[in-house]
Amino acid sequence: MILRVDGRTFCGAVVDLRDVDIDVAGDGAAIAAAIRGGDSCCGVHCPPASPVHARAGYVRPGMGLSARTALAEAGRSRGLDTPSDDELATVRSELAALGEDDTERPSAPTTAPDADRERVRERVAELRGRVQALEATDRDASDARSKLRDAARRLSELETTRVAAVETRERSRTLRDRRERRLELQDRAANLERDARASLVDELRDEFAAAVDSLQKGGAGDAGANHLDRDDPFDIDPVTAALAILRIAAVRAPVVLTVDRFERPAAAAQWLEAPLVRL
Amino acid sequence: MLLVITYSRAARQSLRNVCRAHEDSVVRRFGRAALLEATEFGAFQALRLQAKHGIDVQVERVEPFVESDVPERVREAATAYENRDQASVPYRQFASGTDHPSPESLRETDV
Repeated sequence: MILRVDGRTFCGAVVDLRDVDIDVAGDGAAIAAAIRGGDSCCGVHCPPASPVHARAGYVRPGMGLSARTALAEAGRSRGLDTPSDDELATVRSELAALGEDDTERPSAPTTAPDADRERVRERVAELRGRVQALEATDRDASDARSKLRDAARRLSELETTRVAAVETRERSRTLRDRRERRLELQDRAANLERDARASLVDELRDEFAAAVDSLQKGGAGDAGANHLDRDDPFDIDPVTAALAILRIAAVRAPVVLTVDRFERPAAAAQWLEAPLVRL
Repeated sequence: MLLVITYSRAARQSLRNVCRAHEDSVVRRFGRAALLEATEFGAFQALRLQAKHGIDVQVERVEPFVESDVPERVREAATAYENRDQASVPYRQFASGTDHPSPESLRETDV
């Protein structure tokens, strides 16, 4: 890798920055971000990061980790398959075929209640009768005629709104049918992803436990307390879990390390089988 | 009552949160839908969800179903068909040659 921090450049599979005057927490995060290809003040030239890097690529005191999810990613980085993969691919392609979220948002037009329309309709009939009666007896019908025009216009507006409301309702139904399908597929995909994750974790559990054991035996006296009576290999501190997962994963991009678990950075890189930046 | 149906994961989550926070206003909860009380408060919650999630939230007014609103012949047909001797007889066959309404006439008539 070629790494640029604060205007200085470092090269090699293992870069040790412990004696370089930098801000460990700030620059560690920046270097990890650069390795993942994100925005960063640091520059790095290295092979592309795997999804494992997003979860465990920056090993530091006090880090958080979803160990099972990260372990499943590690399995993926090694090209492991699961029984859910075929269906998951089908579901994902159907989801992609449904397209992105529609931007169309038909707003529900506010419609007058049917009773209003009925009242206006009756008013129009009544006024029409009055106009006819006035005209039949040669009386002045201009006032009634103007009222009739107003009422007829109002009725026509109400009808138009009603038709628009029906159309909007039908359009919304179509859009919602598609959304309903999307939601079903998203739920199905989430279930399959969970199954796949469980299957990968199952497959790698022993390997993970062995890696954790090897870490705890190989020095790092402070982790010894966790060593006894451990039924669940995932019941472990995040730093240990992250290191074990990185060892299992096929990692080509550098790992950023700010903890003392190995005698030398080179030993860490060898154990992790990964390029390394030590701060 | 107000029937609120959601069509996205985000809208479904918001509906769950509303239901959890305002149990008193919730008549019934389903997976991604809920029946809210037809009060201004129920409507307020439904409108809030719609304002937030747009078309992903559908709101409908729902009325309680009253059996007596349905013509007697329909109620009788339902009871008679459920008490039929042979479980495998489809309703069309069951109704033909009797006074019970045909499936077509049932479909054509609104209640």
